[in-house]
Amino acid sequence: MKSRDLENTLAIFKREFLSYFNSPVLYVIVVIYLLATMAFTFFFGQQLLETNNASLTETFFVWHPWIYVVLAPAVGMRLWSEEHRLGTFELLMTMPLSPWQAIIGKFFAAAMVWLIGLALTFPVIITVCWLGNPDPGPMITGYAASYLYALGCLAVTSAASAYTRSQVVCFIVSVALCIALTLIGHPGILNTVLNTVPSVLEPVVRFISYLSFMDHFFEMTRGIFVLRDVLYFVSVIIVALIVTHMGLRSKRA
Amino acid sequence: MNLNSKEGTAGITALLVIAIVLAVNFLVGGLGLGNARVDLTQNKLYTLADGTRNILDRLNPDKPVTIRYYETSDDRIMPPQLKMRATVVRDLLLEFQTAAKGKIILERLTPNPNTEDEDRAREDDLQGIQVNQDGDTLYFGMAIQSAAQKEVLPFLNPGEETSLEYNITRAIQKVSKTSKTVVGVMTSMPIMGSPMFPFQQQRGQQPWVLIQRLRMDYEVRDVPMSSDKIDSDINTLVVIHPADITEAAEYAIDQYLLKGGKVIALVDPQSIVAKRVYSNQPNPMTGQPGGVINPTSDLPNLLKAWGVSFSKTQVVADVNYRSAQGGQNPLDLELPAEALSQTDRITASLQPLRVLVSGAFTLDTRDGIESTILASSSKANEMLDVSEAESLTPERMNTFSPTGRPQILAVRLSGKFKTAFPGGRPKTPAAGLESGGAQEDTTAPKPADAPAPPVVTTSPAAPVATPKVETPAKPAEKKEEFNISDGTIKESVSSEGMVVLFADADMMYDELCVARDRLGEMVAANANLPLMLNAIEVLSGGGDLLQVRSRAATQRPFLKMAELREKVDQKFRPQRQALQTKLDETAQKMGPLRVKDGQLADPSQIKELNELMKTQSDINRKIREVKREQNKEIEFTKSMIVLLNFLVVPLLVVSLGILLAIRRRVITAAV
Repeated sequence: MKSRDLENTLAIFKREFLSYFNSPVLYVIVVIYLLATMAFTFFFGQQLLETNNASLTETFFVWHPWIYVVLAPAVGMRLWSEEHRLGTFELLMTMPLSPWQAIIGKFFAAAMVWLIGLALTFPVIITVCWLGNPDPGPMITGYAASYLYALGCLAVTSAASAYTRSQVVCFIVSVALCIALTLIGHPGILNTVLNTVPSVLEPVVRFISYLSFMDHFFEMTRGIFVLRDVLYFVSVIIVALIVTHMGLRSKRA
Repeated sequence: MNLNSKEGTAGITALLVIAIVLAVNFLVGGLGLGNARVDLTQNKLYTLADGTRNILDRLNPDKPVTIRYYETSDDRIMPPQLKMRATVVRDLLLEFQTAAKGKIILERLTPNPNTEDEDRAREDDLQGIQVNQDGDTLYFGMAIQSAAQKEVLPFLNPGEETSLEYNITRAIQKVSKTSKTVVGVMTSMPIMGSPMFPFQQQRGQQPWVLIQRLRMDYEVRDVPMSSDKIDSDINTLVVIHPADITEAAEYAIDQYLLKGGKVIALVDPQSIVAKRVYSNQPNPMTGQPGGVINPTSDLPNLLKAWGVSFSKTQVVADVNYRSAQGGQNPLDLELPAEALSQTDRITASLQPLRVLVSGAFTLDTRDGIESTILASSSKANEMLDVSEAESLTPERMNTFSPTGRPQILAVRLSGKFKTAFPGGRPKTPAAGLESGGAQEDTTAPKPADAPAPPVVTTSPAAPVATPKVETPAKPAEKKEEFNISDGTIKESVSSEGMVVLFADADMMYDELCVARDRLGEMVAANANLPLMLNAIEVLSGGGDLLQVRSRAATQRPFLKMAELREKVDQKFRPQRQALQTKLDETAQKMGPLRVKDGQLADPSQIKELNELMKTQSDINRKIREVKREQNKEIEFTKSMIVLLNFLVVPLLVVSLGILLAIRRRVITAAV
């Protein structure tokens, strides 16, 4: 990447990132995110204080996918829809920058917002460290897995928003896509599908179920980075950004 | 879209990139290429232990080990919980395969209902679980085979995740061995049994259940107490109650250990079995009245060299761990899980252990020797003199003064041992007369059967021999090395020396470790027998197998919470105890006033009784209040933790938002 490209990308990143702080939506989403993660950690399923185990795997990280499928689209829905609606997209495209610079700049701005959101869950770390003697490894990989999951959902939202001018439509479509990507690996759903499709299609169904977000998330929360899981999330992000690019091109055309 | 246009080309490129990304994912995930991993857990829980790697390195390339891993893939049958676990198992097996560098053949079979793989699973004795009324069976296990030897892990229970690596490694080691492991038993008691002796019309004695059980898995070899040499092909030597052991026998054990042998010793300051069961029994071989077996046993020279002190005259009395079968006798102990090491492979997940009139060890550090306490008494113990222990009365318990620190009842020592006989072979009359140059030659282990090369470390600068050297050295050279002084090895040839010591020998006597169930079958009555079998398995498996530790995430409890509970409990304890004392006093006063033959004595007594009952319910109410108060303090802390987690950061975020909004408004208004 030339330095000019980098400057352009950074400029977009800065503009987008700061614009988040000017909108009350960001604060609302971050607060909802924090309240939701803490509520799930302390009140639902295996409750952290009742487990008597200074590990966040089963109590804290386990809920993150379900929170992201709703909240990541809420952050990402304005990425392109807003530009389409306000007509600023055309303006943006007249500027001397390539669509890729805009896509990456905007995506990283949204990613940075999630990084802040995730970092703000730090009280739970202080809590387990104060209460017991946790293993830092699974915490590090758990946070990384959680962040990758959020970025995956965000990239999918980015792709959806490139195709619609309505934020609401973008939000609904993105949530649906994220839930689908989370659930396609669910054994119950897989079974139902396997029971109905002809046996010739079974490998195809299995391959699709391999693309489930969930399957690649949990192993990382236990304290290990497995190449295939990291690669999977990175691939999802790359593919979704390519789809975003295609969407933007088609709009411009 | 016009394919010749710029957009068309870009679209095709994009689709191509997507296809490549999907293909890469499929190749990496589906073909197992993406197993590369970084293990960030503190104890490297998901990485093969060095011990496993050593065992895999030593596998014979000409005799590969086949692992047939069976996992039902049908999602209609496989529950999600097992499916997730299967990923862990698959990854682990791939690690085994990679580390074995071709010496492990991994076959993955999918025994779905009505398939050939299901038949193979049955042939391999896998334990299937029927999941529905159609008779569909789930399989999740493995068979590990090398040549004709096979070990089966019939079902990989999710609850036993802790020992998955250990179980697989143990099975690999077992099937790759060509000969049966030899366990030597040295004892002063007739625990090996005796054959029927027709001339005396005597019934032969059955060996102890321990010996019968050992014979199922090992070749058990009797090592007489008079031995002055222990065969080097013995993997583990079990010494049970070595009463009146000679220095020559101790020397033999010493040299055996230094050559790489493993020793389990049960010594006893007061063996009740030796004293009451075997002493003065007629000798089954001759029918003549038997001799007296000294109830006290010790390994005086060896223990000293290993840094272990053991009093032959003192036994442990413990009021906390009194066994129920022992009639609350503080010398008959039942050790619960908390008295046993839960991290050591030998004692982990075992309980209870029963010991009878046990002694205690004190440890002194020795260079190169690491000690792990396997079993200890509670803090409420007192060391009693043997003579006092014999005539222990319940009244004596009134003057019981606990030492306040646990006594060590069993310990494992590992590392590099030094000889207990630095001056060389002890000059016993027999050895002195018989042993000469010729004797020394015979005691020198043959290069072929030594468990580790018998290289003597003659000086600190001398290189330590690695156990991997297999080329038999020329006998002349060997002899030369061994003939330094009288052939005594001064130091362990490797750092994998291993000794397990118990301060009670009676624990392995049938009456104390097995019982008959309703069908008349012998079953383990407590953990004594499993513990000994564990110890022998772990030790005969060698140091490498010992290093294969648990892979499961260790429980990391909330220490602060326990601390807090204890603190609150301490605060309220005097109050609760005072109330309890009052309650007891009231109950005592009520006793004589209670109904006698269906009637109360007189109205004044009725009145008194009613008052006492009122007092009683008052005290009970107060006790409840105290308990509630106590719980409230703990609950308060918990609620504070939850509230702080919930509120602090969101409030900060909201405040920041409001501040920024106000600032913006001010700036806009100014403009």
